[in-house]
Amino acid sequence: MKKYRTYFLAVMGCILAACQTDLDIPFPEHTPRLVLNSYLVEDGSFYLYVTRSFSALEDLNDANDSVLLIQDAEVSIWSNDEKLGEFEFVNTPFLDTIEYYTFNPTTNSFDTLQFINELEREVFLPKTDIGTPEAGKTYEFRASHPTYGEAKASVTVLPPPKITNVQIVKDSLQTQDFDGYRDRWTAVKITVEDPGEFANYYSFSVKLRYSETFDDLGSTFTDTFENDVWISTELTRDADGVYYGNNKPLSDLDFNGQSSTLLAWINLPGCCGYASDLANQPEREFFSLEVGTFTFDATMGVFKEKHDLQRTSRTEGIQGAIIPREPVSVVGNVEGGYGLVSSFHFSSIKVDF
Amino acid sequence: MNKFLHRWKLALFIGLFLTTMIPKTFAQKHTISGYVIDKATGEKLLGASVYDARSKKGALSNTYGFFSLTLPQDTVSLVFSYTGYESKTMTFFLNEDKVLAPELTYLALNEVKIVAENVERKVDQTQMSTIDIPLEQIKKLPALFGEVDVVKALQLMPGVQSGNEGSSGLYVRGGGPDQNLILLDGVPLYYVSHLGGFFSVFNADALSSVQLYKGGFPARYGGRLSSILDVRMKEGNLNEFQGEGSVGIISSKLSFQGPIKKGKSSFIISGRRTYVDLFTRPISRLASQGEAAVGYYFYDLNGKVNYIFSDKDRLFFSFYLGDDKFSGNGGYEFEQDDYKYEEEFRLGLGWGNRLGALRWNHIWSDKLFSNLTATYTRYRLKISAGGESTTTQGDSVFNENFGLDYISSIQDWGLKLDFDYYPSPAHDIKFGINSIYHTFEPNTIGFSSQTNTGSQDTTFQAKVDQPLETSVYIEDNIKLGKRFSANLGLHAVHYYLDGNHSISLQPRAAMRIGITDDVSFKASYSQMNQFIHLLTNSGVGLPIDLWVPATEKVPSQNSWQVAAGFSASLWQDQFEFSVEGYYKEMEGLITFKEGNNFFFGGLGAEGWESTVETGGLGETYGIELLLQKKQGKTTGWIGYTLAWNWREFENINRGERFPYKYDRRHDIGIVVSHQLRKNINIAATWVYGTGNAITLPTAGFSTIADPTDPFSGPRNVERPYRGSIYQIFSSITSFQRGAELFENGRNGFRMQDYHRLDLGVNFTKEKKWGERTWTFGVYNAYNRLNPFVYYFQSDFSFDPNSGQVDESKKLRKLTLFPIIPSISYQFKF
Repeated sequence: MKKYRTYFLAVMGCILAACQTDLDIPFPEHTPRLVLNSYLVEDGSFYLYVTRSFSALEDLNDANDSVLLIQDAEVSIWSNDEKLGEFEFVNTPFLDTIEYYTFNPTTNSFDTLQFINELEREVFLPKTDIGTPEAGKTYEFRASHPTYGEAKASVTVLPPPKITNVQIVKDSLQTQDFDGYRDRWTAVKITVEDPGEFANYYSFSVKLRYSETFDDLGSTFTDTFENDVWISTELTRDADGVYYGNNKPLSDLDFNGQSSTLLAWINLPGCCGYASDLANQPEREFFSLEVGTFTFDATMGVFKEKHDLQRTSRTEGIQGAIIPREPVSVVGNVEGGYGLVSSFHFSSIKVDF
Repeated sequence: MNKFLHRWKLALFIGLFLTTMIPKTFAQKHTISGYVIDKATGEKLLGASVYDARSKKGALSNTYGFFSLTLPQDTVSLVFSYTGYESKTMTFFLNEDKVLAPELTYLALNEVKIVAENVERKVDQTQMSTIDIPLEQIKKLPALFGEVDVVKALQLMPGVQSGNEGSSGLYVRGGGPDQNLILLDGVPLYYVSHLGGFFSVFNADALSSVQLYKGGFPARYGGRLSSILDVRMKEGNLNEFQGEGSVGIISSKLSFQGPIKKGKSSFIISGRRTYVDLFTRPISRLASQGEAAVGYYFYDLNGKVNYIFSDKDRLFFSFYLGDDKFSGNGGYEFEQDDYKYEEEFRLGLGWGNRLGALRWNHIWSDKLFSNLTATYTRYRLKISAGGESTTTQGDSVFNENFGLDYISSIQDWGLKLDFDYYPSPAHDIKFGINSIYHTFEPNTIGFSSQTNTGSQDTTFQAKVDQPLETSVYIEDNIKLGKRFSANLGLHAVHYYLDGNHSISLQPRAAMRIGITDDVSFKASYSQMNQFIHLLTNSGVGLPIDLWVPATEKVPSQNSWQVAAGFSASLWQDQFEFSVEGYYKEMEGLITFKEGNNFFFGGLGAEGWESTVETGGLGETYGIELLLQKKQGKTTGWIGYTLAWNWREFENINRGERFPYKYDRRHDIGIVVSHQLRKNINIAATWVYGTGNAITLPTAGFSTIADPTDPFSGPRNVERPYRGSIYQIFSSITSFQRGAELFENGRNGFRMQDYHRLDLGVNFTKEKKWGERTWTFGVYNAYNRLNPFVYYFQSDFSFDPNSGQVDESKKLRKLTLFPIIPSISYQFKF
């Protein structure tokens, strides 16, 4: 009987395994076009990153994305139909500085540590000095390539965001219960003054500096951290209205040229998931919050929202095919090609606990 | 406003027309009424023909088996006939009203007798765009795993498409799976699939008739845009006990019926259960080396009892309950020194329907029949997960239990009153009222946790909506002479939710002009309205679709459809041929927003309304051809559909219209069944369909890092960007392939065409105890590897010389069912 059972199971296993068969199938060809990318910042630099589009099945690897890089395009910049200058491809190494902060118990303050990273910059820059981007002015990049055709895109440079006040709400540094998770939160009020003449979007980021003291092997240690934290709940406005949460961009329609105060709940360390045991958490001291505010144009706002959604909703492989999420179309502002040429600005305010 | 006035004018016109058409007096006329009955079982025959050969006038028994025919005082020669039954003729002088109960004898199909003449032919019917396949014929078709399926048989007909491979979903004339009103004994069923859609919930052994309306909807039906599938259960043999059943590869079923009180009352009970879990549990346990086991099964239970109180009163109670159960459990242990961790987990997924109907048929007079039905239906999906863990270290023991339950359900209580009024042979008037109290509970999520130190229970529930939907209708089936007939009607709905009232008026019209005795032209117009939506995008037939009501933010769906065509009866009624063209527009369609699906967005605590695109438009049109042979040794049909199917949403595909996922340009179904000998029947089906329309990223372009992203954006936000591009580029030197491009737009890519041949043979033998049939079948006989889904797969290889990792990406397809043989054993006693 046991022999028959084994035989039966083996046969059933073969039948079930036979249900899955995958085969290579033909795929439509893609005609590559120019891809233009640039973010202009008031008083920053003019630059344009030029690549080409690629087939979904094109063999690429982690080191040779440079096959996409276009070096021999003709690139120029215009404003009000007046040619401001021409661009050239520049490939020079540069040193990227990454900074870390560490708490110095002796001085009771943060020390800054730097980490230098050598990178390459492969970008089109102006051949001659054409100044810096001016807020309110519209620029147009034009690029052409013998194989990939012509493309152009225009952008109006934004002024910096006006953050008039950032305030940690008193008594909010306590255990809250959002969505059944016993996390620690604090509330921050951010007041923004929106310039009415620009159709700009907003996004906020928060850095938290804190220290943790814990026991290990009979000794007490204190470590300090600086972490980016998500704005995890919805942003709400004082008077009315509910805005997007989770660091999603806020449309200009939400501000409409007025001064608005938003309330953001910041998820603090001290939680580790559902119904965590707060009593067993290490002792923490919170020092400061740094609220960064980005403003960016509507093109980038829509592009960013769609691009984020596309990245997060994409599930590779068979799982994504069987339970798919609705496909997300990302549309930039490059005529004749792809990519995004837009403008943003940033400012930040640090507040202590 | 104009549209509203226009509809009222139309309604008024129809009302006046109906009134004027009703003759005021019926001098020297008498009415013959009653039920047409199956002689062997005592069951009523629905749609049986009653025809006076002398006056050339006739009628059909209604959906409850009742007929009424008013004729002038004279000698009449009534022929009672029904497909598959021997006709019966009664000749007498009609000088008073008469109540008859003609009994017809069933001719087993394998006796290969020519079925009765005078059965009302399609060419003679006003109704167009209908499909009815005799269940005995369906049972002989080859099927996946030998499991006969009513819905899959319908998919072989023109105008009806399946979704994916093996799916029992219905896509009728370009409509979605939510746009089918599926009625079991007049009660809506919301989810009709088992096992991911590979089987429907209908157990053919328990059914008496199946009829699908694709267009030209009679006014008595409403509530969905694209089709009505009217399935009726058997009532139970009034004369003797009878049983039948089958044993197959994955399931077995058994039906039993008989009289409770002979001639007065009967019952039928029918059950089916799969035993896939008997295989999957040991296999999964072996595969996981005893750590986990998964199982799945489904069952159906149909039952009905009826009681004849008098010649005028009958009471019925029917029920259906069915569930799919998927379960898995497992455990994990870790031990080191005095530390020990033990964990057990379990996962459950279950969905199913509950349905009940209490029906009272009453004959008020020989011309007025009524049916009062109280109904209940519920569909529920439940996902549960939980587990226990124990951590032991020395003397310290920490226990934790947790559980999660997700429930989504829709429940209807309904009351329906229908009247059939037969004032003269020229008119068959139906009118009635139907009220349904819906309860939608789209998302209920409960968490529970219990530890040594405390416990917590939390439940979140999305808004429960309880709309009241009330409809009234009137229709008149008019016969004017031999050549012309029409069905005119109006269906009106009042919908109430959260203080908001909506009214929908839906005129319906159908007409038939007989060109010759054997050829007729038919045309129809129907407006339909639907106050419920289905959130779905998987297309795989998973039970995770979410039913939601029309609300203020997400209004109802509407459609209008015109159809016209010819119907012909050929070669002494051996063949029926029909060609129909249709055009349908839909509005108020919904679909998930970009990036959403049931799990991402559909479950959102902020409510499903924010996750959908609304105001979608649909346009679908096509031509359907059907050549059908219902009599003789060889029966079957050839169906062909040429169709186009579009959708348009403001925020999808840049606002441009795009093909619907199931836009299928060509669809062919060929079915042949041949009685080789008295006891051997062979059957074959071949289907062909243009590949499904899907959305694939065919290309991509690079993007630079999002500067506003606190993680991938500039690292050093303290420094101003002024005068520096390094912060930006510091994070894009390894820039990603970035965004995907859908060059062909939404659903702009076609999967490979689908085609498949199924073969089956039935060996029947009379036994002392009854009859047995061995059925052998082959699904996908030539092993066509039809695509189920497409997906990208990356293969990575490391080059030790360059130190690079090369990626090779390919598009692949998954095929679900290669050639699959099947065997089943059926018995009747």
